[in-house]
Amino acid sequence: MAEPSPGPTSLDPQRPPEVDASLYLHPHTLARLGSFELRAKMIVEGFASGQHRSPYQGLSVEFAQHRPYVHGDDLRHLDWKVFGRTDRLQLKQHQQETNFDLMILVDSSGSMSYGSRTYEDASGEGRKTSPDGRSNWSKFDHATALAAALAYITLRQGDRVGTVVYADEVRAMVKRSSSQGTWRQIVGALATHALEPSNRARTTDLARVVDQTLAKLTNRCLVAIISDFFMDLEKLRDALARLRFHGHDVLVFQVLDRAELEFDMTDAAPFEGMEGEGLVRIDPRAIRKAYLEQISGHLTGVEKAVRAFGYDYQRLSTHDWLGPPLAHFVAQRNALIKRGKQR
Amino acid sequence: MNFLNPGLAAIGLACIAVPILIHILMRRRRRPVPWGAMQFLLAAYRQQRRRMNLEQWLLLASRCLIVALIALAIGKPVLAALGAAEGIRARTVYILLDNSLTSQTSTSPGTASSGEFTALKESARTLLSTLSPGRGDRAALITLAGPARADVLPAAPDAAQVAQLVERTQPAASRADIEGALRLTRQAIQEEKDAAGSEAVVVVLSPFRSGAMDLARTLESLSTTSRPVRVIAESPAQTVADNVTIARAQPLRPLLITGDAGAAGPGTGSIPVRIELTRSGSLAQGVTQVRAWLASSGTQPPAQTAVVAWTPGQRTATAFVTLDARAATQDATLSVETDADALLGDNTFIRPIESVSTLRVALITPTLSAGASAIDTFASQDWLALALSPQTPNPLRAADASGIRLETVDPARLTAGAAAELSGAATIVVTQPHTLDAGGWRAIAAAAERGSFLIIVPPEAEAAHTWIDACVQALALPLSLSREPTSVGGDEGLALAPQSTLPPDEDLLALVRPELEELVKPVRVRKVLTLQPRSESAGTPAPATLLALADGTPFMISARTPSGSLVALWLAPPALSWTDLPAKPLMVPLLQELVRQGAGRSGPQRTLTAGNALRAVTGATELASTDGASLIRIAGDGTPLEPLRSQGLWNLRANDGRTLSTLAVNHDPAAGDTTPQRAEDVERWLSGLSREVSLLTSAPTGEAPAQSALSARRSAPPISFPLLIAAGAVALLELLLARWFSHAKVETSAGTAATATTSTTGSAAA
Repeated sequence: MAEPSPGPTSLDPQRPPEVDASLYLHPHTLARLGSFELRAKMIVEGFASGQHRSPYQGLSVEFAQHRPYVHGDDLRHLDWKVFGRTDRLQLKQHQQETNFDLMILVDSSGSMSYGSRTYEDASGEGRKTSPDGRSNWSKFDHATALAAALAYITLRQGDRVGTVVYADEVRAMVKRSSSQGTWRQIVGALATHALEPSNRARTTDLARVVDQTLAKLTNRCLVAIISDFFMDLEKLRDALARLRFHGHDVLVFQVLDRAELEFDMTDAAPFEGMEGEGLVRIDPRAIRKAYLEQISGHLTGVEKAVRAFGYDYQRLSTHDWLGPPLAHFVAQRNALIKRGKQR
Repeated sequence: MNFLNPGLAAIGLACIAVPILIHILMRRRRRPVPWGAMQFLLAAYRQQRRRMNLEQWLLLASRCLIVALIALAIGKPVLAALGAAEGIRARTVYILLDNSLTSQTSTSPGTASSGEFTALKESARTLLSTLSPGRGDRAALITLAGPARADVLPAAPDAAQVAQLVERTQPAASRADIEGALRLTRQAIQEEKDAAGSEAVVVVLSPFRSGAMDLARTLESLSTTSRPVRVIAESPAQTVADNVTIARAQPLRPLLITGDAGAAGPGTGSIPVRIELTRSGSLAQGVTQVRAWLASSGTQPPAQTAVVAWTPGQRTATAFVTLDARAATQDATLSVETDADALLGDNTFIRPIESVSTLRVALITPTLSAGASAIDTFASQDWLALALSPQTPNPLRAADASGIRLETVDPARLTAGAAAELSGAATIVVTQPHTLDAGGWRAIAAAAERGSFLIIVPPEAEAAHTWIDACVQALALPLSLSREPTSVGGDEGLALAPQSTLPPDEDLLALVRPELEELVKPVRVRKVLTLQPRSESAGTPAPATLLALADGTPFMISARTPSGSLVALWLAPPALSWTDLPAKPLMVPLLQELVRQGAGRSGPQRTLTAGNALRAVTGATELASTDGASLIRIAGDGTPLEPLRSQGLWNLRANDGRTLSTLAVNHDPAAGDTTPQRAEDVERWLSGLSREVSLLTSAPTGEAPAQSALSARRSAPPISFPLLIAAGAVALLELLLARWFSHAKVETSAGTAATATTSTTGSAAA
């Protein structure tokens, strides 16, 4: 079992980045890095080089189109030059100047500390334990890696990024900013609040966290929620509905461990809930079918709930690499920008 | 349930706890696995909990059952049905224990405790100890002392109880009744319930000496078509045991007439006693001392001793002693004793002696002209009276010097009901029976019931003897006579034959028989009634011929009434028109001897050979031993409820406690033969019972022969294979259950969620 991190991971700015950054997109490489700050940089650089051209277009105030004047329109927006040439009243419409804000919500509840993959396997470098002493690669590790990578990409484009680490409530928050110091704050928050001992039995209350987060948001932004979503579907719908109400766009990343999906254990050891559910003695082989039906139903339910609001849904396994979700993020971001221009 | 290996069974059964302990320890040993997706696990668990619990319990139960079955297989339970399947069948053991006189033979004379009977009891106990009630073994006990008695029958499962009965079994004085015992056994085997699968074992525990078993008799098979029977027998005793048996001790006159006070006539003060001895064993030359005495009222006069000198090979001998009877009282008992030998039980003989001061003879006759008329006018009753009191001028005045007191009774008075006149008469002489009517015959029959000896003389003047029908009917005699006399020998008549074919016991004239040779010579008989024995009188013995004519025609016969009273029937009256006997010297000794012997032998039985049936005694309700130790009720038909098997004196008592007579029970002389018989002869003889006969021989392991004989069949394996097979079957079932419950086949369809995840992720990536 993953032990909670004793404290923030110290950065090593002297350590040079790897030459072939694309290698580091794989969790083997990610795990090999002692600090997820550096790890995120590697991920993004590897991702960028894999695209061969920068996907980022830059944002500017540009003319969009003309439309006929209707009664009630503000006369200040009339294009007098067109009226002079064509004798028709046309309104001049401009592309609204948009700030791309990303808010990353990372789940740090008890269940996120589960990880069946060994650190040694994830690192691929022979290290058996993480710098903070854990021997497994947890879902939270995977989530923070993804969160840091998303933040790094966004900051490199000069957009604003904020982070919330939550469980049953907001445990740590970094306000949106595009300043250079933001990166360090985000990394610190993720490290500081990563699975403290007090988080061990904490459950997830996403609706409450969304409320707390929305209170800090003044404009529409892209909200990325990274969690295992082991929670009640109604509460999930409730939280998504609030975000929808405020007009935010949402990206849902559901992080799962392969063991949770396959449940192929044979040893009849007792199972202990990580969010205070207690102990149950059970033969995993006897219950596997029923369990798989349960969790499969839940996953489908989560996906349906997310897609019902028109949001994007991505399911991640701790055994897979982060390339696909990042590509999805970039595609989603571009689409968002495009929609913003069309407004 | 019993086990052949109870210790192993207990240990094995305790091992049932092992699977449970393993289960508990495994639960404790396992460290909990942290699990994130607990809510789905719990939901699945709640959904499957009942099924999983059932599976768990089934698995645990099957595992415990495997251990239990293995434990039982090792312990080997001895169930009847299971045993039958394995060759260890339940056994029903019929123990035929010889407690006859012969079984008490001791090779060291004088020490009865070390006799063969003790060894037989030990064999029986050893054999019983090998039986196992849990397997369904049962035991029956039949004692052989005749008549054979079923002590435990039908067979009982409690072998210990049977062993206690064996321990309490007492030796008897009768001969072994092997036929009776086998009859009981055969019947029990045929009637035995739940016999399916069980084996019948008949164990004959006897020394098989000649006195116990007669190998000349063939035995009927015990086996039935459905049930074979195994016979195990004790090895015949082979030691030579010298034994002298008192075959009989008989006073020459069973009735002691002491005479009137001071009138000690010849013969009245002494009893000559004839003692017959038989011997068996080495038959070497030797000497046996015989002591006899007449004890009365607790006094024991000095014994008279006779010495028998045996010549080599001699088997029988007769000794005579004359005992002083002057001090004898009514309860006098003759006791005879020989030296101690291999068999102590046949060394004594007892016999009660009946004594009277005068012998009352009632002469039933209408008239008596003795002394008054001339001889040629004498009727038969006159001749009879004269013969009964030859020394008395007037026979009716006083007792004769010989002790006989003659009284006459008018048959008309009997008819009138004056039957009391016959009470106390030891002998009743009926003359002119045609003058008696039914009432008169009833009175005579009643007197006979009380033990009076009857002499019936036909009337000489009658042409047709129709009285015979009334007589035979009233006395229930087993005979029939011609109603008309038959002339024999023409004018000369026929002479009497002195010889008799009767055994001395039944021959009333045995004492005078040696002198008859001369005395019968002048006697001629011209007419007799002829005897026509009735074939239907099977229950009572046929009449015996006391005196016969030269051509064999009976002249005088004796018969017993159903109550045991003796009747002497003259087939020709002592009248000169029929025979000249009354005028000849034979008449007096003949009648005197007849009266004395008949009076002594009529009436209740005084001696009985152990094991034989007691003749019914009218009015007796119980038999009490004179030492007061035993009491036997007598049934309404006059037979005791329990046969008399042991030597001793018994009083026959009436309902009011009055002693009617004394009975002496003596050993069976035939059982005194201690001649050993060869083992192969005994085995061949017993093979008539069953094809499977074995003799008990000492096992080389030092095991008791009886134990090894029964354990010979127990060559079954030390564990129970059916249970072991059952354990294997349950183990196979457990394997299948465990595999089924492990849901191993789900592996192939596993990964539903994982596959879905991958595809979702893949499609998203695409």
